[in-house]
This record gives sequence, C-alpha cells and structure tokens, in this order.
Amino acid sequence: MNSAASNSNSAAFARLHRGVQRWIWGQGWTALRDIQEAAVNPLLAGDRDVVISAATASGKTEAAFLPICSRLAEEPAEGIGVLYISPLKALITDQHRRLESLCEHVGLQITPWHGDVPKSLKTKLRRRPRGILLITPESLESLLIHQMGWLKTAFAPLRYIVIDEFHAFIGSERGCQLLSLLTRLGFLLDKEVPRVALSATLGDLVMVGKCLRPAEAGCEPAVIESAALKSSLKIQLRGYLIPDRPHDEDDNPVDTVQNQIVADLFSILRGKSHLVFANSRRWTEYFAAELADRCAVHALPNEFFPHHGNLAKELREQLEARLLEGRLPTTAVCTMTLELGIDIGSVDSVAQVAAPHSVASLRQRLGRSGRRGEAAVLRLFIKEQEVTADSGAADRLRFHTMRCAALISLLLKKWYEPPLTGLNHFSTLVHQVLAVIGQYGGARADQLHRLLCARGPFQETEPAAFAALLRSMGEDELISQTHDGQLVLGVKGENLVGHYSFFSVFKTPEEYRLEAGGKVLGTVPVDGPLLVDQIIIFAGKRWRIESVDDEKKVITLTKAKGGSPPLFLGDPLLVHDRVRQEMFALFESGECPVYFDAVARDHFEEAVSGFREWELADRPWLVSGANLWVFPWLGDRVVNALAILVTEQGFQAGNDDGILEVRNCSEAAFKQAIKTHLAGPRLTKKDLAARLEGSPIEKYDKWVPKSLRQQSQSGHFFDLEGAYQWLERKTDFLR
Amino acid sequence: MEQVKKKRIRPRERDAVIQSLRAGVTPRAGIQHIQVGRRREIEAMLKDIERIGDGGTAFRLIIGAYGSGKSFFLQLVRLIAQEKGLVTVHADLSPDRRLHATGGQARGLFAELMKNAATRAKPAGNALPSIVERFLTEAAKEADQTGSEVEAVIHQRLEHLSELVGGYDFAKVIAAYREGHETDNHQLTNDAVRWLRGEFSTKTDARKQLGVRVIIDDARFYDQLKLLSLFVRQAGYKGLLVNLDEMVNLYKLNNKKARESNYEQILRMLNDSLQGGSEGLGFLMGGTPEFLLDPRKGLYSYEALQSRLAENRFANQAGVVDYSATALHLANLTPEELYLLLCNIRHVFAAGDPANYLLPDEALTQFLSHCANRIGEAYFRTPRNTIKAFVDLLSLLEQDQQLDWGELIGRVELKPELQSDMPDSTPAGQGDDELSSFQL
Repeated sequence: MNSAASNSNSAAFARLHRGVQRWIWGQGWTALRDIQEAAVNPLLAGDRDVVISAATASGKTEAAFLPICSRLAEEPAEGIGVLYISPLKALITDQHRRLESLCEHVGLQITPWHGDVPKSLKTKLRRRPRGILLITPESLESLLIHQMGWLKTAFAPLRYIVIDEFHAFIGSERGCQLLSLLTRLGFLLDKEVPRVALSATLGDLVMVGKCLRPAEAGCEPAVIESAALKSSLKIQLRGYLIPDRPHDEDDNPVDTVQNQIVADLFSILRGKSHLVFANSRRWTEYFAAELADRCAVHALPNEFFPHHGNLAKELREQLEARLLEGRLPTTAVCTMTLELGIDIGSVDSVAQVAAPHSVASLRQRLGRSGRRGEAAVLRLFIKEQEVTADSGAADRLRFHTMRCAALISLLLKKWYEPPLTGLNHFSTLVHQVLAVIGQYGGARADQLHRLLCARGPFQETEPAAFAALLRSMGEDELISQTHDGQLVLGVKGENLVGHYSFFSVFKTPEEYRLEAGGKVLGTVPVDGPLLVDQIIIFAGKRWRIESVDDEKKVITLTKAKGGSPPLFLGDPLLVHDRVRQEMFALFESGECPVYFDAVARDHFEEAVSGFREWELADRPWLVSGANLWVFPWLGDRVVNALAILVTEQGFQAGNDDGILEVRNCSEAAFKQAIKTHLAGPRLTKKDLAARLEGSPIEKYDKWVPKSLRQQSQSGHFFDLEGAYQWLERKTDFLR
Repeated sequence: MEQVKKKRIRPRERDAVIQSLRAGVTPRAGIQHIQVGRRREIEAMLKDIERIGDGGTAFRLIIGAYGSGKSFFLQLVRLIAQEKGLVTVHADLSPDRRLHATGGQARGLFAELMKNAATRAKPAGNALPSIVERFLTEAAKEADQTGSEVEAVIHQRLEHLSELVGGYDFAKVIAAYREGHETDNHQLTNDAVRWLRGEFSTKTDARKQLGVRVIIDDARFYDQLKLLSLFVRQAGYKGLLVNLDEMVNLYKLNNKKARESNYEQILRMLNDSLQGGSEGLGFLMGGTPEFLLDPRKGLYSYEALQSRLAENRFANQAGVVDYSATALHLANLTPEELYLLLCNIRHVFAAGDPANYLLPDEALTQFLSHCANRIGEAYFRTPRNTIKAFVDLLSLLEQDQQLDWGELIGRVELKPELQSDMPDSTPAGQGDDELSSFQL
C-alpha cells in the first residue's frame, strides 16, 4: 500500500497545511494512499459533496480529515468548522482518539459529543465552540431541539459535514432522520454545507451520492473509490439434513440436527468472542440456553448469552459492555438487533444459524468480525429438510443453501442491495414534525411541508397526505393548533418530545398475541404487513389469520386445513431481485462453491439435479400434483405482488421463498386467468394498499393514518410494476 | 365621530405613526391619535395607574385573540402611564426571555426590560441613567432644603430598600454610580448602569468593577423589579409599570417543568399584588386566549392560578363585562371601529387638517368592502395588514394626487397574515394552498 510516489513529489501532499504534513511525517508514512491522494483537491475546494468509499482500515478517516484539517488550519473559524456524524458512540470515541494528535498538530479543538461524554467537555465546547464536533444523529437531534440558539451561532462558520459509515444509514428510518436533520441544520444556518460520506465499498456509488442529497437532483458528488484490495474473508457453509419426522405436539426443536448444530457451535466458538445470528427470538433463546447448558455440563464458565429486543435493557447492555470490553470470551446469540448501531467492538467470527436475506445485512454482520488486520470469518449453519412426497418446491431445490451461495457470490462481487427509494417513511415523518415544532415552539403546516417534504427527505409526501398525517396527530393530542393557525405540541406530544427516548427513530418490533378459539398460543413480533386470510406458521402448524386488533395487539387465528400454504407472504425481510437471479445463474452453471462442506455439497447436487429434471432453465412454471409452482426468479416484492394478482383471479396463492405456489390449479386454468387479468383493468397501487391491514410496524406508525400506513406498506412489500412486467415477458408461455 | 375633529398633529408624531404602521408595528408616539374604542378598558387601566401612583399595586392579564390589538393596547397604556409620571419597562417574551429559568433566560428578559425603561421625558427607552440621575438630584435638593449631608439623605432614602432581598447590593451600586459621577469616572457610572440592567454575567466581574458580591441572575428577576419600583418612587416617579407581551411563549415551552416554574412566578406576582407584597408596582401581561384558558398547557392548567383568574360568574350570567377582573378580554375590532380607525389614520396623514384629506369618506367604505371581498372576514382578525395597505394607498396618493383612488383600491392586494415561530424560507403561502390555511 505504500508503493506510491514518496511524499516529496506528491502534488496532493504539497497542498496540505504544514502542520498536517508534519503529522504525516511523524506517522512515518512514506506515501499517501490512493484515496487520501484523490480526496485532497475536492475537499480543499470544499464546494461539493464527496463520497469516499473503501474497506475498513484503509484510511478513509484520514482521507477526509487530512485536507479538512488543512483548510481549517489555514482559515480558522470562529465557531465549529466540522460536524462529524457517526452511527455509533464507540466509533466516536475511537475516532476522537485517532484524530486527536492530528488536530493537536494544527491547533484544532476536537470534541466528542454523545450520551456518555462527560459534562465538563460539553460545557467547555458550549462556552467556546471551535474546531471539530463528533456526534451521533440522536445527540444532534437533541441539540437542535434544546439548544437551537447556541447551535445557530456556534455552527455559523460550518464548512463540512462528515458522515461516517454512511452505508449503515441508507434506506433506513435512521438514515431518513439523518437527512432530515441535515436539511433542518442547513435551513437553520441558512446555507448549504458540503457533505462528505465515508462508506464501505458499495456496488453503485452514484446511487450513494443520490442518497446523500435526495432533494436536489443534478448536484453529483465527487466519488473517490479505493482501488486497494479488501481485507481477506474466510467462509464456510456447513449443511445439515433434517430427517423427515412428524413434529411433536409442542414442536420442541429437540431433534438431532439441532443438537448437532449446538454441539458444533459449542466446539467451534468456545474460548473466543463471536456473534451468532438466528433469525428469530425463539431460536435465539433456544441456542443461548442450549449452549449455556453445555458450559454448565462441562463445568465451564458460561460465555453464551442471548441478545434480542425483548430482553431487559440491563441484560442487553451488560452483554454489550462485556463484548466491548473484550476481556472475557463472549458469544452473543442475537437477532438483527445487534446489526444496528450498537457498540460491541469487533469479534473473532460471525456465525449464521439461519440463511440470511440480504447481502447488505450479511456484510453488516461480517463487518463485526475481523479484528484489525485479521481476516473476517463467516460460518453458515444451514439446515435443509429431507425431501418427501409432499415437500414443497423450495425444499426440493434446497433454496436455503442456494440463497446463501448466491448472497456470498454477490458479496464477493461487491454488489449490495440498493436502498428502496420512493418510499414513504411516515413514522419518521411524524417524528420529524414533532421535532421541528419542538425546536421552534410552533410552526405552520405549510412551513413544515416545505421544510421536511419539499426540501427534506420526505419527497414522496403530497400535501394532502401530509394534512391527513397532521390531523391524525392532532386527534391524539400529539399536536394542537393555536388561534393564529400555528401548530404547537399537544400534551402527549410534549411528553414524547420531553422524554430522552424521543431522539431515536428506530425501535424493536411490536409483539402481538396469537389467539385461536379463545386460547392464547403465544406471541410473535410483527415487522411485516398482515392480511386477513394470510397463512402464518406458528408452533409448527399453519394458521389462517381471522382478524387483527391493532389496539389490543391480538391476532385471531383459525387452523388452516392441511396441504401446502395458500396465501403466504414470505418473511418480512425481503430478498432482492438480483439475489434470485444469482440463484438462477448458480442453478444453471451447476458449479458448487469451494467453501461448502460435504453435506452442503450433497444439498447443492440435489438442488441442481432437481432444477435440471424440471427443466426450470426453460420454463417459468410447472404442475405438481394439484398445485402449480411459478418460478419468477425475482425478489419477494415481485412475488408478493404476483400472489395478490393471482388471488384476485380467485385462486389461493402464496409466496414460498420466492416461488409462487397456486393451490388447486391446472396450467390451463392459470394461463387463462392470467390472460383474462392482463386483458382487463389492472390492479392499481391504491387497490393493493386497500387490501392490507396496515398494522403499525415502525416506532411512530400508530399516529400515521391507516390509509397512509397501507400505502407505505404496499410500497415496501409489493412491486406491482415488476409483477406486470414479468407477466408480460412470459406471454409466449401463455399461448 | 368626535375623534375626527381633533387638534392638529405635530409633523414628528405624524411621520412616526405613518412609518410604524407601514412597517406593521405599533407606533411608539402619537398612538393616541389613532386609538379607537376600548373606552371602558382604558378607564380601568387609568384606575390601575392611579393606584400604582398611590403606592398600590396592579396585575392584569390582557387577553385577546391574535390581531385583536393587544400590543397596541399595551403600548397605549404604557404611554398613559408615562404621562401620569410612572416609569415603564416593557418586553416581549420569547424562547430566550422568560420569567423563570436557569439558563439565563430570565436575566435576558430583565435586561430587555431595562433596555426599554422609559419615562415621560425619555419615551424612547434607555431611561435608566436618567432615573438614577434624578434620584441623586432629588437627594441633593432635599439635602439643600434640610441642610443635611447629601450622603445622609441618600443613605436614608436607600435604607428602605435594604430591607428587601438584594437591597443592600442595590444601594451599593447606586453609591458607586454617585462616586463615578462625582469623580468624573465614566467607567464606574457605566458599570453601575450595566449592573442595574442585568448585563453582568459573572460575579467575579461585578466584584472587580463595583465591589458587589452578587449580580442580577435568573433567580433575582422578580426581586429586582420590586427593588426598582421602590427606587423609582424614591427618585420622584410615581411607580413602575411592567408590560410583558407575547406571553403565549410560556404556553409554547415544550418542557412541562419549565412552563410550570414560569406559571409559579406569575402566581407569585399575582399574590404579591393582591396581598400588598410589593409597592408602586404594576404588571400588564398580554397573551392569547389559549395562554390563559387551555386546561392542559395554559395558565388554567395551574390550579392555584385558575381559581384566582376565573371569570366573574355573576358578570357572565348578567351578560356584562367585568372590567375590574384580573383577566381583561379584548374583543376584536368591529367593522365600525375599523372604519373609525381608517378615519383617524387619514386624519393623521393630513396632519390634523381636514382640508388636506386625501380621500373622501366613501373611499374608506369602498376600501373596507374591497378588503372584505378579498380575504373575507379574516381581515377583522388581522387589522395590521389592512392598515398597512391603507397607509400604502395614502402614501401613493400623497405623491401623486392625480391618481384615481377608485382604481387604486381595486388594485390593493391583500394576503391573510400567517404567524409562525419558525422563519420562512421562500415567500410564505406559495403554492401549497391546501396547507397554508390548514386546520386540524
């Protein structure tokens, strides 16, 4: 990495401030890295947004801060010159340590600011705001609401906004809040400040630039990408076969395969620190308990702990602190809660005991692994069901295994799911409306809309929808209106804004109670849309949803009759079109990845031979018994939409892991139905939205009017256009 | 129409009124020339002012919807009070200026009040130095008459203050001022005035410059006003009137605790005023109905205040207004009053000479009906815009008397006024009409 030209003849180096140059010499660097070299000119100019993309530990931070500190040293500012925003508190502490000596060399003040920073440091900055401020989005939100006056003067000379780990923000509620915060800050300061995004290597960097400033088309950021290679990655996929055996009454997962996985986890993981990702809380608890038991049996201290949203906060924080400290070997068995902005340092390896859904989340999880300089280690423990006469297509084609292979293949190709754009984050909008009113004391509806929707990230929200949202908030006393037409906080809104938990926009999903025939079956987290007649699997059985009560958080079920699932919308975690296409390519090529173990290899062979036997390379659907299986090889949003379309024609259909299963349907009937539908009036997004229950999912969803919730969920979980496009491409097969 | 045939108006007053009205703010001088209606309310205020002058107290909440002329009314009472020999201080509350705070906002309000201290001789504000001067002159006069030492007179006059919280330091600062005055030490007099205005932010500075150990901080806001009211009486003024406008800012505080502490401060002022805990001190507070009536966030949410401020039930039942109530409700201007207001403005414009009227009476009627057609009855609620448009119209006519007023009136553009604490980026009310007139 230090093979470039020496410092003395680097033009970029020459442009840096003397103090910065001295610091670089002091570090003993012989050359700047490629991204550091390339970032100097655009950042010194300071007139446009910049995206710096490189792998972890490749000097992104310095790439941004060498020129930024240079400029600040040359033209000192009477106030805060740089705002650095990070999703993690620990990262702020870390960056503060890293940048302190550089800042000392050029006489810049650098202040970390989040919940755990001592008050004395904050007071010092309040009295004399200077230099660089390192902050989380939540603390920035708090400053905007409670210290607006100070912020306005202290940030007046602001020159750069640096956003670290920008990929972690894209497309999420928190990212939406961040963009809204930046808009509000720009509005308060009455100027636009160049934004500098530091990001992991992403597939499509132009898209990243668009996410950085969504409201303004045409102001493309400068993109600086590292040519250097990524740190190494070690992968193993271990296959497990679940023998065909009837489930016992309680579906206790005590079969031999589970035991085998637990035993393997125990022998591989004990003694170091790891993360084990299970996709549901139930499995999290199960694995953690089993592994802890094993520790007890062997008279060893326990080092396996569960981590999920339902756990008491103290327990979670204890575990996070223990991982962060890193003194004792610790393995957290977790759901995706540990994927999001929580500080745990890095671990030795990451294990998946269920197939992941997206490259993005896999990469995020993997990012936790690999201590400085060491390879990241990923182990996948993937179960497949033994094939029997009534196995579904997804089981026969070993879709879990194949999806893992496709995800890893895309990961290695550095592809990454683009965030869904054009979505309505109404829950975050509720939050931001409250925040802006709290910030100013009062505001008019048209001002709020102009700031948040026209200028800010909520571009998709029309005035009519915004008015409906405000009315819904008004009904619940979140806001009220004074005689002069201003909106002010209502009693409830005031309590919300006044509470420390207000500053963050994300939450763990709500638990709903499942009832059947007056008996309580248990609880499930609701993080996807619900439909009446939808089939869900609980306690090893299939149930049909009778009704949903959002107030009492109860889902009433009746037993679904046997056989394959009718309307079954897959997991709320959606698989992207590109992943299914990659799976198709893997099936076609038939080349087994090298990191598969023997059992996994068997599964792969079975899958490929099944694919060939059914001639799936050439046909989009086939009949199996009374049912029809449709293979769009597209993402869940398309398949969900197809399921709705087919249901419209009077069939029972569902999405089984990307395969559309149509019950009691012959090929001829299916073709006829599709032809009729395509000839007639098409389903609109509105029609589709009306079919959803619109249960609250996100933190402030309960104040979003139902119609808007339906609208936003239909956008999230269904791709109607994609479904129609696929059908049109298949017209040859309809004849 | 007795207002119309008033005496001539001085050019300085005329220009001041016109300029203020064009800028959409309440005029500071000459306000009596355009005042209409509110006869009973002003009578009530006169009684209050008289009581303050007699060493008594007054406490009033001036409650009116947006545009009902609260600020105008407060301004008028302020001018009357100055005429009657009171010292007046006034300020608008804002997020940075409150009655109670711990982050310097109460001191901010105090400093603003002191900046606006005004007397009959100094109606434009910043009267604090002249009040101190007058105190010293009065003391010197008394010393002359009685043949005693000036020092002794001053000491005796300030002794009364020393009994109050902070009175000792107050007396010391006055002494420092005198010393600076005697020795031509401008730095010292300046520092003394700065201290009185609440502009010292650290005790160290205060001790270094003036030798006092305390400063006027958030906690001493009200006590300092009480001291000041005694002081101005010693200086020969009748008393102190404190005008606080935009009280709705307390209602908008988004922290329940902060809001209640402020309401508690109001309760303290009210109690002192009812029970004689202060002397020669009056408070007028202007606020919107929600500031008073909202049971969740308004003054009524504070139980002790609600019982004291409740409306006179007998007056309500009898259908009359109780002008002696603590909370005085201002009604919006009636169309007739608005017509009179336009007459008065025309009169001011003509410098009080009916021969110079730029418009005939029928033009006023036509102007009002044009406004009513334009923005409906909303213009009664926002007289500010109507008046601004009217003054603009008169200015045009003044420049070119050949213009046809009928045509000009037809071209007057009016937009309903939009209120907000949040600044506007682009010109307000652009495009999204659906939201600019949004109602929950």
